[in-house]
Amino acid sequence: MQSNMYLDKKTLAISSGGGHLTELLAATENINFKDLLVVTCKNEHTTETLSKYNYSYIVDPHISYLKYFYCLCQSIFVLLTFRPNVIISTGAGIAVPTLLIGKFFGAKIVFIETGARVTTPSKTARLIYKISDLFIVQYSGLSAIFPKSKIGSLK
Amino acid sequence: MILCLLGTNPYQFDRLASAFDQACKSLNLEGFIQLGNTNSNSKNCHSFDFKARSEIQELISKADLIVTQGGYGSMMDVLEAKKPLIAVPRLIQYGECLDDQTELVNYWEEKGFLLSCSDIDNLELAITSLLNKSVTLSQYQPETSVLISEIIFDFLDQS
Repeated sequence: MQSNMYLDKKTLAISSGGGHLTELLAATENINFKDLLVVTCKNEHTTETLSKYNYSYIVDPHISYLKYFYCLCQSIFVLLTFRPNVIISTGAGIAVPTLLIGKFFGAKIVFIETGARVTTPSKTARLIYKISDLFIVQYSGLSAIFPKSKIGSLK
Repeated sequence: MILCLLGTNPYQFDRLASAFDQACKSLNLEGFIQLGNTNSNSKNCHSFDFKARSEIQELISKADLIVTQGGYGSMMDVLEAKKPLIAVPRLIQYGECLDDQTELVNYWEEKGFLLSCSDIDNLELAITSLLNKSVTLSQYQPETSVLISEIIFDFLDQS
């Protein structure tokens, strides 16, 4: 394993809470970023995990249209103030505005399908696949559905 | 000591919480349950809603066996600790989750990494078979030796 992977790029890592955040941090923990901002939704039980990162909270839209709109506004604000070269995400819906608008602003898009998806892709994955520059799945069962994907494990 | 983890899922999972509590009583085992967002009366085991991940990992290391919801994070923590694992997938038809948990649970059971328990009436049998070693599990192996962090770095470093 490479131990000095230094990435000279402004990187925004975004995901919803719970497993998505755990996977996002596991996917990036071996990389030494020049400037990394972690964006997720507020969750009392992730404060300890986030304490060693530069992080920001936005609202998790879940299934509410009103929250999606609020999430959209917050996402635009984060993109305009941080201006990432790269956006890495493990989903879910919280990341969609950032990924789409970030792509429009010229950021490289890296999407990692969650380890919970073995043969059936998530809605977010289906949406983001076409605009992603690097698309990673964790099981070979998804390679046929996403032909340009790469397969990797978190650990 | 046996441990039950319901994770951070926002939905109720009383079906597992009650069955685990009952199993602690019937099998006369000391039990701990992490309830998360589930409201449940745990008369026969110690219960708490959330703890820091490091504390959960410490409890996992002390447990003889862990029963978890079918969430990726909960199960991975146990598999990495190389402890016996019973996974009970939350079922959409009972309003226990938004996304399917059976896919990953079934995949890992086929590989022999865990015992699954979709019919909650079988929970006590699953617990006793793992504790008395009449059933043994295989050690977890990742799907590939290629690391996601290396794929990401190689791609971005060149672009």
